[in-house]
Amino acid sequence: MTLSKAQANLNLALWQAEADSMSSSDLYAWVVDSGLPHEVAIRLHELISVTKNVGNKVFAIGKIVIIKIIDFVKAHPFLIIGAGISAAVGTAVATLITSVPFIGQLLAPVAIALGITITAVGAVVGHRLDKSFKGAGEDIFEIAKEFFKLVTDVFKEIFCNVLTA
Amino acid sequence: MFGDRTLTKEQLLKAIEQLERNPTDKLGIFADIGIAGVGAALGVAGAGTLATAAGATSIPVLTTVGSWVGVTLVGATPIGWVVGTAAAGAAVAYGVSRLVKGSGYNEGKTKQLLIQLKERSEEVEAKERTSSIGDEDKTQFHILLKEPVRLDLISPKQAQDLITAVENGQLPLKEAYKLVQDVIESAK
Repeated sequence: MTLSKAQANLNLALWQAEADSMSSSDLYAWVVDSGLPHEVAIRLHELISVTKNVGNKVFAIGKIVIIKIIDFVKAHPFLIIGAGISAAVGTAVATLITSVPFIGQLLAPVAIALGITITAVGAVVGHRLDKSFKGAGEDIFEIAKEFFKLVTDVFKEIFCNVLTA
Repeated sequence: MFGDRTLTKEQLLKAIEQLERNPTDKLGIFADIGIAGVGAALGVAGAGTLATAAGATSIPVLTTVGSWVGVTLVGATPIGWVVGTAAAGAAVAYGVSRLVKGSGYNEGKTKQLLIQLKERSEEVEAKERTSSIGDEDKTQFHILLKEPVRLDLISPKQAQDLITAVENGQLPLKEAYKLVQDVIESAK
């Protein structure tokens, strides 16, 4: 089913409200306590202040992305048990990068810190991820793709004509 | 994000119906279903109760009149009833919500929902200009979400998040009405 512009607006407004209700110190605490390598935690935390304008509204897109990544990690605890927090966050980051172009630019520093390489054609080579999942990588990316489908659909619908560079 | 409880459609509709019956008990009802941040401005629901009472009685009166003159209400154009009840002023939202309750989804229902939302939106816009948004205005919005949820135009999760965002003041009431209105319009 195609997502309508109105549904996309509603979802984004609700995510923005959720982002507003979440203090940056809460997010910082999660990122720091998550067990992620220091370098990754710093890069992820830097996203908190990233915003994007649509019309006369400002969306805390960086904060929304972090919340969605945390949601993904929380919804899939087995990933952390089986592969570690870096692999779980890496799966989320890799999925988002390949799905929405402007998110790729946003998450590039995090991806580099996680050891995910983005090639010129947009393919993702995650050596560390492959090592972590030992053959199950494809299935896990499928799960992540499904989880982030609404997020990527909403971003594409709302920001495709707004953001280019 | 951190431990929120997501309601099923039935649970949410039941909660909204409870709120509709007893708008003064918003804190208790929302606390039961786990909607956070409610309670900032409770105790101002007198007008809401009045509106409920007016709305609750206006439609049965019309229905009775309809039955006297032999009109089958199921087949009657809903717009006519909306126009007919418009004189009831602030109570119309409640009245119309009773009118559409219980029958299947159709174009007329969507139109009515849109009329309701537009009227409430204009009312809220006027109040926002004078900064007199009260708790009863928020309660009316929550009650209005019942039909869009019942008709699957918005998901229970979206409705729950809307209620939370409006209650916490993160989403202006006028914008919330506009978002729901746009979703209903796009679903037509």
